[in-house]
Amino acid sequence: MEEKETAQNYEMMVILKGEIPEEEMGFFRQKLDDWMQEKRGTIHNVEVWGKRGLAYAIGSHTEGYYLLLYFELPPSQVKSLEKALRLEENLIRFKIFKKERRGVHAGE
Amino acid sequence: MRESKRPPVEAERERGERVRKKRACPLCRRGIEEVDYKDMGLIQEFLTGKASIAPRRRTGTCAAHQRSLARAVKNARELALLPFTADHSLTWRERR
Repeated sequence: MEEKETAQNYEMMVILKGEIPEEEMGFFRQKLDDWMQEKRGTIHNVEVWGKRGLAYAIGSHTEGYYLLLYFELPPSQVKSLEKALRLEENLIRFKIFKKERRGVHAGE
Repeated sequence: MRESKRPPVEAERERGERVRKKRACPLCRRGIEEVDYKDMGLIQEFLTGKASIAPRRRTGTCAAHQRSLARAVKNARELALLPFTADHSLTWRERR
């Protein structure tokens, strides 16, 4: 075991409030970037799905701004990421999916 | 995902039983490993009119793929990509 925890790949879908201005979206992305940097995470790719109607109303929201992120993060930090996201007011919903382990020690 | 093995039908034929030809799982046929919750077009094919997961007897998916599909549908629902149920303003017969 090395002293550094091996990062794991994750996929995360995020739904931001559909009615917020474009700049708020930027703020959110920036905040996430900063957070990742602090926790030794790396965002590999961001897919912007954009504004989309929700299949059902969540609270009063009928539209959401969808983002799909692929990132790498030490598994112990996932909990704190969830915690941080839950405090985000512009966020309607998010879901983090674990992807396969990367690197030589795959499957360990 | 591995392909399912079917028991030989010869014995049944000998006994004069009617043998129904089992169709291959549509997801195996298409070479799909795991159903992705983001693949709305694909998932839609396996939903009933009231947006519930179609039974295997209707779609003919193998057990492994049906589980994978169910997982995908439930994830998609949580992200409001799919409804939990069809709009109540329509009856399910009309939707079908």
